[in-house]
Amino acid sequence: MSLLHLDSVVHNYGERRTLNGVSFELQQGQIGCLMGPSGSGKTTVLLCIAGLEHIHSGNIALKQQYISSATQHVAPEKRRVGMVFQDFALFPHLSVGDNILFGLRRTAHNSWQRQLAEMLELCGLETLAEVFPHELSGGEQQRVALARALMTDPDLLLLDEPFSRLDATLHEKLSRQVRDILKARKQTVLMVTHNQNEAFLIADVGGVINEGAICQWDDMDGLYHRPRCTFVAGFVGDGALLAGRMQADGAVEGALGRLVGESVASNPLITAGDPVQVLLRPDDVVLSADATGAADTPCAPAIVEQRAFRGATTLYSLRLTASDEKIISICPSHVNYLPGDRVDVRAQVRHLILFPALET
Amino acid sequence: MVAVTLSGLQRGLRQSLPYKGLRLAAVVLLLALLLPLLAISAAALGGETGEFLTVTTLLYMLGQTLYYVGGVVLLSLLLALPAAWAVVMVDFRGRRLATWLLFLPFALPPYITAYSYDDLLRAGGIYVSGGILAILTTALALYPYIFFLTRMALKQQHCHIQSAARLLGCSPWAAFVRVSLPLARPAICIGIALTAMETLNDIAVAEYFSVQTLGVGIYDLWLNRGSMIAGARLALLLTIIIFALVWWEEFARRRQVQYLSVCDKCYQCERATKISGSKSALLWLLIALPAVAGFWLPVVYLAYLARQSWAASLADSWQLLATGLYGSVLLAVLLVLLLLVAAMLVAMEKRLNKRGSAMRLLVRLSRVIYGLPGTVIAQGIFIVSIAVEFILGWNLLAGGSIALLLFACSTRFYIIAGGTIESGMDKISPQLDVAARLAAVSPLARFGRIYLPLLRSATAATAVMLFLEGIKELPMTLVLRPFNFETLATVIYQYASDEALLLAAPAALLLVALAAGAVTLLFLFEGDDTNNNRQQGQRAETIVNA
Repeated sequence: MSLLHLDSVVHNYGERRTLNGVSFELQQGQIGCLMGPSGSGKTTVLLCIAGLEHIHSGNIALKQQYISSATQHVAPEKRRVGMVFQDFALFPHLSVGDNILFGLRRTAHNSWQRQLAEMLELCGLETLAEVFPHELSGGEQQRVALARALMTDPDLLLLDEPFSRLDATLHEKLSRQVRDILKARKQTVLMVTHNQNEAFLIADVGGVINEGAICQWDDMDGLYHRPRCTFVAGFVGDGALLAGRMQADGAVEGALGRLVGESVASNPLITAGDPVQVLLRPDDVVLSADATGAADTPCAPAIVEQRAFRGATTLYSLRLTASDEKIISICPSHVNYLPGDRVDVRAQVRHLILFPALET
Repeated sequence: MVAVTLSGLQRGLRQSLPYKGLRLAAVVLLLALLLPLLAISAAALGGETGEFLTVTTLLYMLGQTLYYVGGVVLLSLLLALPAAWAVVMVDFRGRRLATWLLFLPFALPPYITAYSYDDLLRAGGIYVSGGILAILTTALALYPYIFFLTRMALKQQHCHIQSAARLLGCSPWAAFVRVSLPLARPAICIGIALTAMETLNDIAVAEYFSVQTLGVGIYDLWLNRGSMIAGARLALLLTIIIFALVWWEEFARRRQVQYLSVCDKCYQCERATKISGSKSALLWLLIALPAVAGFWLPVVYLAYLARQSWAASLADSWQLLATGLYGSVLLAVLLVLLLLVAAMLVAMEKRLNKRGSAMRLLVRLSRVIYGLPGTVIAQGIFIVSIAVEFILGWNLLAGGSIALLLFACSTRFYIIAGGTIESGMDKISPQLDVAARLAAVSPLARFGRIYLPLLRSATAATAVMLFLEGIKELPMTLVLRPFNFETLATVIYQYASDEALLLAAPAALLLVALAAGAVTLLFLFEGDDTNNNRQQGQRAETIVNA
């Protein structure tokens, strides 16, 4: 049985519909991640689960108990749900220790001192118990917010873009630390972010939300390799869509010749002879100078339009000369082309991802 | 880069003649504001050594002052805090109307509330001790200071702070007590300090109910017993107490910066718990208590008395009413004009010239003056005019103009104009100066095309606040007004002192109507503030481009 279950949740802000039938579930101990562009409704999902927003229809169940529906609303303080806010929302008038202990009833009989010491150690805050929030760095504030939320031992922890205020270096380091802490406690977590790298680092399962509706809820590998729609394909990872025609043997014929994958994530609506769109990831497209060992694969001429230097790699935007279609390719940075250069490209596709062609 | 450019720009500016002139004018102006304080200190420290009150009398006065001020502050807190919580944290039908109603008692000067209640209770045959009635009526008129500041502090608190407390197991009320209230503490402290200073400023209520406060003592020693030196010494003692209060207020303000945490969307975040039905009705009762007791009850009673007064066709009082109305409006309008010009001058000086430590000290001292009771300032001005007569042979007091009164009022209320305009000026990005300078916009044109349009709402709010203070002002007017010059406040005071509230009622009603209009305008400005902040950046860009 799932720990968290959302069934057709609808939420409105005044006249505007912000969530339109959101459904997904999360198992005990899983870390789930909801991704989506700004304004897609991902934070609203968290607020509804936390009870800070009322839902219009549908229902939300936590540990098989309904906590939100059109007629029922359990108060936030009674849900056993913790939350780490984007801005951490630390209480500025309390020390780190008092912030962490805020949700805990302190009596002479319980072991709050020991619990505090353990939590400080778990989150690497041992020396900061007496310090005030404004004296902490961004990373330390983030860990205090996490410790405060974990201290009440919530059934579900919600993380609202918890790393968005941190710089890039700290970002990756803390993401790993946070995942370790959460996994060590077997904590069930739902996080929202617009940053897919963050999601790949932390989450076990994830979903993509757009305009208040979940496009796909899957494991992280599935979101990348088996996107169910072009929005998910475009949002999770880089890529370009290339026109082609479905063949009877499962291959696709297009501007880059005959494309055959080891596996095919096809749409049941597509049959042989249908026009299709093929998703090409940048690592699926190889510039001719590097296509060694694949000489049997046909080449297609292209023109380099843009190059984005990324340190170890360079991302090239290319235009196919024959069909005028655009594709992208990632190469080691020692492969150096300039905008306007003519190159040969070939496809080395392992997972063939197909969508029905757009009607014109 | 911008800082470097600005620094160079300011260095260049400081060397030019108009800016030196601007600084000189600002220094002269701020020194003039300090004159009464210097005069009081000189008079108090000079003179015969033994000329003062007995220790017993002094201790009695201190005790009475503490009792009066303490009572007013405590009662104001009891009235203001639940009301502020209700209008910010609870969403109920008519919330905006309730907020306006809670602001309205600000339109009633404490002496009008006091006179009305005393007369009403006497008419009803109810006896309440003078001390209690003084505390009750002053608190009803002054609680809006704490209400206003607490409400602002609660509104500005980050919405996530409340949500975090709720998710950590707090009920809405527990979240308010454990998080919101401690975070609003600096604002509440400022409200307490302002309420205490206004209570110390009062002489009319305390004198009427025979509460021997320090303010009344100064007035009595100086004007009734003719001992200016003893009066000045008592005034200096009071000044030291006020200094302590101002220091405490500044201390609270400094901590507030550390505590303040506002999110960009907070004004739009709706955190209030929705209630309706019987709960809403109960809440309305809670809000109605201070609003009705502090405004509507005295106003309705005054209207009843004014109707009786009208029926009696008291020709003399109507003539006096017209004179009082003319005097009040004249004083208030002149005060608004004078202080707006002065505040703009000092704000420009601060913006264009880097402020030295002497200038910073002058500005700080000008803030302290606001805390001084009107009686102390009036006495200081009186001493200055005697000194001028002694040295230059000019009799300023017998001149028959309201210049001295205007000077005294400007001294006390300068901080209202200076504070608001300066804080408005601080919100204008320094990069606009650089942009204007690079576009070859002269300093004068910059004032007209950038600062003034951006300071529009701050200027309007300041004008209304000054007008409100001008028409409510009593202690300084009472002492320094020229012969045959009356304001509505002095008319009310004279009739009320003669226990003829029936005759004072029309003037009181007129004053309340003017003040209530000003309070309503202030309330509307405050509502527009969010929009103004949002539009300011856009407007600034348009102005510079133009």
